Amino acid sequence: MTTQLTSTSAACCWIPLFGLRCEEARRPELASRPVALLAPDGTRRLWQVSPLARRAGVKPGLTVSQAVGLCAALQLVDADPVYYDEQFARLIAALREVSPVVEAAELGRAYVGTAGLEGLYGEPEGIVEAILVRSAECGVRNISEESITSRNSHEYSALRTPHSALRLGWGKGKFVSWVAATHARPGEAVIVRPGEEGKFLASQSLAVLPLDSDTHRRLHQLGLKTLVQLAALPEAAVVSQFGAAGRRLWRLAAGLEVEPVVGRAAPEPIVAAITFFSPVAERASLAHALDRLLERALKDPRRIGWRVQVVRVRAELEHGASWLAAATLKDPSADRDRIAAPLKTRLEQAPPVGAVERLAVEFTAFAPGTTELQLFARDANAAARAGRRRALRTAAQEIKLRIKRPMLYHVIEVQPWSRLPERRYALIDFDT
Amino acid sequence: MRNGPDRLRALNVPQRVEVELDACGSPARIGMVTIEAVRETWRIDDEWWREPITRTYYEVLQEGGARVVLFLDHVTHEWWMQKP
Repeated sequence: MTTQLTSTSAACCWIPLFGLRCEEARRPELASRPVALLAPDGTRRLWQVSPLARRAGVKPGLTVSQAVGLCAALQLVDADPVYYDEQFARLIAALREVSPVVEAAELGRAYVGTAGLEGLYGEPEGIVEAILVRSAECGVRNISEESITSRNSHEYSALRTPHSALRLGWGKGKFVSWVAATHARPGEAVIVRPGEEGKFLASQSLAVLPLDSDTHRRLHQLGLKTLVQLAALPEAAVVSQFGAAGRRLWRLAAGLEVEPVVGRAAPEPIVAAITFFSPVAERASLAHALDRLLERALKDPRRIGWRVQVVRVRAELEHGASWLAAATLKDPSADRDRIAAPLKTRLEQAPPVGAVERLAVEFTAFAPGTTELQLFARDANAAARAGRRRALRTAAQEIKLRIKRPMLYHVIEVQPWSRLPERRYALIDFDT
Repeated sequence: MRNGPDRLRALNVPQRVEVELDACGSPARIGMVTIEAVRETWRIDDEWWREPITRTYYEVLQEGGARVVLFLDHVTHEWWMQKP
């Protein structure tokens, strides 16, 4: 079992247009051009659009021909969701150096639980500074020590760091910290001090709430524009209009809903071993045994949600000698063949010098699981951004391995025009 | 609705329920749960050429805020519930 860690005081780290920022980081010439990323689902529609392109009228969701019609100089870039996910995993790993409580919300947005960090970093300013420094060290942003300044206001205070895409918000609960982050400029942190949440939230637009478009439209039709207007309504009235979701919205608007950051402790090393009846010297047999051990170690429940970063193989040989091969995966993986590849190369190039009596595989370091980041992202678009098909396939395989039957389905249209609701849609097994 | 071994599963299959009516004949309770408001009502008459479907639908708001759809099957005189 993985341990759950929670914290009510939260820092929200947000890099809007994360995929686009990743592309600009590896191709700096893009920063000065109108750029659009194509959706990773193959629909040839735009997914993320740079501010320069947006100024020319280009918007996400347009087809390529529509976009080029609006902006002839538009540079189109194919999305590379695996790369973005790797970069995001690096950011998450860097944030875990500040706090063990880190929750990935969606690609480009993560929460850091900061309860108890006062002893290390002092005031919230110190905590957010530590986060900025760590994120800089993982290459997500550039920072110099002189660039941090602070200013205070009645409602909140801010730290400023130029040349950064990272926006930070600090406050009580995920919602307050998220809203604070949306107010931060790139490279800045907005801090909402304890007790100031109500005042801070009161003037915010309803758009900061996690609303679907229908609810947003209905609230707008009721003449509601700010959180304070929503919070001023009787809770029961909001619930009767919008059900359980309305209750949550009302509580968020009133500052009564404090959702904690939920992190997880990284698993301890996972070991799978086999002792042979008679010592084995054939490389093919050893490679086969290696595959089986990797499979067994990957099935360990502690590994679910984590990708393997460092793997070691130890062999105890006849006459007391030993053999060791270790690999650090540049791209952490939960795929047996990808983990096995460097080990098998080593087995071919520098095999054990004697017959093997006992073979052990050990996973010693992990990175947050790609599938975890993608499947548990807050919305379906975020999942699509991070390579939906690939993530789902891996997740479905893991679920099958774990509970022996498929639990993922596609929703397909059967008779969407039918006046009988039960005939409109059906579930079909998600084939891997 | 199934097609092949466990391939296709219907979504939003109606569930049989017991419904109490008020004096006007509108649904007032589903089992033990009180209905706070009937938001919309409509009727469907279809497929008269094979197995006739004759239903009156009610979109209702339950105590606690849940929104569900009820329908009375006029062929069997049974009440069913499903998601909106």
